[in-house]
Amino acid sequence: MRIGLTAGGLFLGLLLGTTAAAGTVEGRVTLSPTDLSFRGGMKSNAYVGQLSGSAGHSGSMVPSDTTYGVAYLADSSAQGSPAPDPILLDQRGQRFIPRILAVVVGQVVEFRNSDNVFHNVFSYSPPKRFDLGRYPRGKSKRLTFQKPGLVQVFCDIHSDMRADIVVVPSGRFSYVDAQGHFRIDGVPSGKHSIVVWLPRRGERRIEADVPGSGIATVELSAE
Amino acid sequence: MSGRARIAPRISLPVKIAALTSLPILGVMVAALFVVNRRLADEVNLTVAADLSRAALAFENQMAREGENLERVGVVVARDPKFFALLTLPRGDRKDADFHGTLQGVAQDFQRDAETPVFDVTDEHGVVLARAGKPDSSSDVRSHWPLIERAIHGSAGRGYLVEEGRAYRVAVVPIFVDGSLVGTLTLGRPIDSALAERLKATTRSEVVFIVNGRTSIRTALGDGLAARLASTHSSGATRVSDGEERFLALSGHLEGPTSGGTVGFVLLRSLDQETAVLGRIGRDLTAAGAALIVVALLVGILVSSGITRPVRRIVEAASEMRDGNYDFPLDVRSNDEMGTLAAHFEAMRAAQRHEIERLEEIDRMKSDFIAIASHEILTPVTTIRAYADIMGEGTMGAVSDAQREGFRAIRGSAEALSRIARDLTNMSLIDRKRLPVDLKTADVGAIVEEVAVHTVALAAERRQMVSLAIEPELAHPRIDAEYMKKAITNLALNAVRFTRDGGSIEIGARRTGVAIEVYVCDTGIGISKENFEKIFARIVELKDVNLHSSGTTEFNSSGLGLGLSIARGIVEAHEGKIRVESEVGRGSTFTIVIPLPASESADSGDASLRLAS
Repeated sequence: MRIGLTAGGLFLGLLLGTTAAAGTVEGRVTLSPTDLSFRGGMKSNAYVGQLSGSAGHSGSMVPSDTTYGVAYLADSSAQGSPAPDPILLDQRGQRFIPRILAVVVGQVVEFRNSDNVFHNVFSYSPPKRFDLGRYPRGKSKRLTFQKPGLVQVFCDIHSDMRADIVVVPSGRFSYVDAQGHFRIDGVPSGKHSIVVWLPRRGERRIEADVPGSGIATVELSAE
Repeated sequence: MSGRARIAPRISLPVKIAALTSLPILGVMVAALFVVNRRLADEVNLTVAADLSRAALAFENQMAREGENLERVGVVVARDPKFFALLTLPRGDRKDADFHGTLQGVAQDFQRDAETPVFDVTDEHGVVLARAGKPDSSSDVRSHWPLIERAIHGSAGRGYLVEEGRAYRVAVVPIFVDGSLVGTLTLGRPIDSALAERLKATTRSEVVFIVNGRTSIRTALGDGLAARLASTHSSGATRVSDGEERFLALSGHLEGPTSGGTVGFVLLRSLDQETAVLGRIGRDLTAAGAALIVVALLVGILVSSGITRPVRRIVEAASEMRDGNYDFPLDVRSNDEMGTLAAHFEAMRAAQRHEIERLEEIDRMKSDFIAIASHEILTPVTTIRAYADIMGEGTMGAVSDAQREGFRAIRGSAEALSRIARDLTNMSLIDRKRLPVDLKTADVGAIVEEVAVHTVALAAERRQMVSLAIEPELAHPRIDAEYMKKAITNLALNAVRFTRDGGSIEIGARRTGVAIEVYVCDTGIGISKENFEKIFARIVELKDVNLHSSGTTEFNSSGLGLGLSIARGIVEAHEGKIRVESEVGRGSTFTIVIPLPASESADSGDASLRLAS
């Protein structure tokens, strides 16, 4: 793994205005076709329209759900910030949407069933083991995620449904887009470990020296 | 006539014909039954072998289905999120203390639902992660198992597993999540007696699994037979037997890779049960054949006795003919060869009868002639004798000594001539069974004594000893005393004639049971056995004829030889008989047996008792 660092702009940190001395980490991950294809394993369902009752979305990829990973600060230097509002993990068209969800420690996730069929939500992952049981359309259940780590979420009825919840220590995180880009703002100046998690590759750590104001650029290449 | 034996066939004709016609059929039937039985047995062997091959196919199909079912269950389990979600956990998370416990619990839940005693989960490298089933191999890495190796390469497979001497039918499926292999799942169900019984129902055969050379898993089957199966490794159908029942056995190998040991199978089908029906048919055929042979024999005997009846009638008629009966009815009306034979026989019999009658007529004429002639002779002979007497006494004028001697000679010859004439008359009367016996109670002892006295006079000339032995208190039979005296005299005369000078003669009378016996015993020349009958005949061999000695008592002299014939004629007229015992050179005994009337014979026992005391 080769890590390069570059001095970044200062004003972006000011824009966020959370911390007096805050910088930004910009990163780029070289995504291999494998990294991009984790959704491809799913087969398209001809009955999605009927199932979800949301014909407008048709079965196609939800435009907003185009994340391919999560990058976050390994340390919880920004502790003290209040837990953000509950975040939604929807079940629609026999998919979890979004497929990858980053959750800050202490945050509540609302698991909602928007399909016309029963769904179940469970996980065996050590950070959060749970089984919400099966419930019908319109119902939702909430869980608070306290331990950081990866929580793999499944539906025991539909074996193809899968979501990965990445419980991150703080709000300093960013999704990785299709180009492999991510950007974490409000990072206090100093040396930080940045964790990049990709569904196929798991976690990688990159060290970043973030200036008081400006941008630190990190790069993660494919092996 | 008395020595004739009845000539009877040793095997009767109908039996012979029936046997001759039935025996070849019997032989052919026995041969046919034998051949049919052999064919049936061969056919059964072939049929059972073919059935067994089909059974083996059914067996393999069912075992394949068992494997398919396992594989299907495995695929369903492998695709269950509750199951595979565990295997998607990052490697780091698997070190979590709870992980193995959870995995084991989940595996046990699934195992329970899948009803598969064997439930092994490995990771994508073949390292065992969870084991819910019974097999508890010490090794935690199973990647060397062919089926695990196969699954790691992405293909499900079916085969067999032997662990701790127990065999399992197993299926190994790869576990994929999002297109990537995360592990393998091995499901197995035991090869046990229950499976064997299920297979027995399908294959209609006894089923034996041979696991590591042992035959512990099997349907109900004798231990001895099972042990024998374990040691026979021949493929194809072979015959085995447990001493009571015969089986056809077909051994085979189970399809698919086997780990941990060897598994084979043997299908058995009882030949005896299969052949039971055929055996019954064979026995029925044999019984029917036996019944048929009996019926054929009976019918054969009936038919052949019907056909041969004329022959038997002719045989009987011939037999009767020999006894003088020419009237035995032949009663043959068939118009075949038998009819012709009967007709010829009838004609022959008629001709014979005619001839016999003609001869009898001639014989009667001869007897009549003799009777008349001899009677006619007596009158002039009497005159001759009377004049010879008168003239010899000198009544008709003086005669010289020489003349007197001449008259005596004339008188002697005349007497001899009249004796001959009387004999001839008697003989002809006997021939015609017209001897005028006048039966009166008479004292036999007295008659015998009288004859003996007369004989002593004759025997004296020959210096022969004559002794007399008459039992006291002899019963008095009813006889013609004159004729009986003649008969006894004739026997005594014969004795004197055929006994050398100086020999001895015993004359006696005794009672034996129901008869009075009068015997004349001599120490004469004797008679050979073959001549016993001939001596009573009226036929006189010419060389023996010595007319000059007729009526004389010279040694070995012989007259017309009528003496014994007349004696017998007289005795037979009394319904008695003459017995001869003789040995050549030592002497002869002639015995006259005079039967006593029933009333006389009743007290015979007392008489003999008295005699004994």
